Amino acid sequence: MSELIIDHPNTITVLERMNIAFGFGDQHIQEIAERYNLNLHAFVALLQSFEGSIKHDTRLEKEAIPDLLRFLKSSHGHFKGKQIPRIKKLIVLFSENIPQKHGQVIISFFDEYIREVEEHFHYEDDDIFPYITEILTDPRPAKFRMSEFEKNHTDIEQKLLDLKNILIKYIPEDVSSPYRTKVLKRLFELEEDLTYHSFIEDHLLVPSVKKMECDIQNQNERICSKK
Amino acid sequence: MFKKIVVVEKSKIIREGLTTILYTHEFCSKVVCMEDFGEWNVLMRNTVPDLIILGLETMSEGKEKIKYKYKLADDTLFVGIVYQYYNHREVIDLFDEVIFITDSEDTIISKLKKLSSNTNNGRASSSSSEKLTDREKDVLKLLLRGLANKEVADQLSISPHTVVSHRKNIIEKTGIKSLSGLAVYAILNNIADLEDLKQ
Repeated sequence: MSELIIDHPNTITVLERMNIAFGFGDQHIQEIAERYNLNLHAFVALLQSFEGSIKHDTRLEKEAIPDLLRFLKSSHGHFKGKQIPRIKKLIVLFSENIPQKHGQVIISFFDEYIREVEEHFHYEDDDIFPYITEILTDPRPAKFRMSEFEKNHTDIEQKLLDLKNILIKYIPEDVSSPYRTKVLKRLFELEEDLTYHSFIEDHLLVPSVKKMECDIQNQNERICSKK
Repeated sequence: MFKKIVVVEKSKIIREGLTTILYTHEFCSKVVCMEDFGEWNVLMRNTVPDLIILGLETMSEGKEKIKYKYKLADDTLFVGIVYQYYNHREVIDLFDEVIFITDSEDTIISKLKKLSSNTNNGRASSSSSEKLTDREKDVLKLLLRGLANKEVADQLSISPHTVVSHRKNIIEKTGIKSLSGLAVYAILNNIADLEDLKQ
C-alpha cells in the first residue's frame, strides 16, 4: 500500500474519503481492506481510478457497490463541506482587493456555481443513491433507473473552467492580489478531484449498477417463465 | 493547423512514427498518444483535441458515441489509420480522412493539411487572443439580457445563423462557455454594466 501511495500520490484521496488512517507500515492493500471491512474489488478499483490504470466501463460485482457509494457520498460531503467553502472564502478575500463592481460579479458567479453543484449532488444523494441501495436489498424496483441517471448526469466542470479563464486572462494585470494565485491553485485542485469523481460515477458505478439491473431482470424473467 | 492532436493506436511503432511526423512538420502544438481510449481520462483531463487519429478497430463505436463519451467538440475531426489495402467504402466513410501506413510522409502531411484548410478556415482566423469585434459585443450584450438567438437576430437585423456563428466566435475567443461566465467577462471588459444584466 505504502509503495502505491508514494508512486501515485493521488491515491491519498481514496484513503482520506474512506477514513483510513496512515501508519499502516508495510501492510498490503488486501490486509487494509480486511481491517476496514471494505470490499476488496471496490477498494482496488477506486485506487486504480486515481492511479490511472483502470479501464473505462469496468463492471464490478454487486457486493462492491456499497463501498463505491460510500466513497462517492463521502466525497460529496468533502466538496460541499470543505473544498468549496474554502475556495469561496479565498474568492471573497480576492474580491476585496479588486474594484468593488468586479468583485461583486465574481462572487455572484461563484455562488451560482455553488448552487449548481449542490443541485447536482442533491439529485444523486437524495434520489439516485437511495434507489441503488434499495435494489441492493430488495431487487424489485418499479423501474430501472440507471440509464436515466446516465442521461441526466450533468457536467459541473464547465463553470470552473470559465472561472479559471476569467482569473487567468481577464482580471487586469495591475490587480496584484496574492489571493489570485491561491484561488487558482485551489480551483485546479477541485477540478482534478471532480474529474476523478465523475469518472468513478460514469465508468465504475453506472456500468456496475446497470449490470446488476440486467441480472435482476434476467432472474425475474426466469421466474416468470417457470410459472 | 491543429492545436491538439490525439493518436489512439495499439502499435507503438505507428504511434511514435506519426508523432514524429507531426512534430517535425510543426503541424500542431501538442500530440498526445495512447494505446486505447482507456487511458483517455488520465492523459486528457479536461483538454479537448481538434483532431483524433485512430485505428479502424478503435473506431468501432462510431464517431457520435466517441464524441459523447469523451465530451468532444462537435467539429472534432477523425482520421483513420489503415494497415493494408482496404476498399470497404462504408468503413472508410466513417472517417473524415484516412491515412495508409504505406503513405509517404509527404502524402500524410498533405492529406492533413487539406483537411485542416477545408474545415479549419473559421477556426484559424479567429485565434483565441483576438478581441471581440463590435458586432460580437452587440450580440453578447443582447444574449446577456436573456434574449434567444432568434430575438437577437431580429434586433440586429441579421440571420439567426449569423448569431450562432457570432456566438461560436465569442466562446472561442474568450475561452468562456457559460452565459454567466460571459457576463463576468462583459463586466470586466466594460462591454456591459451590472444594470444592463438586471434588465
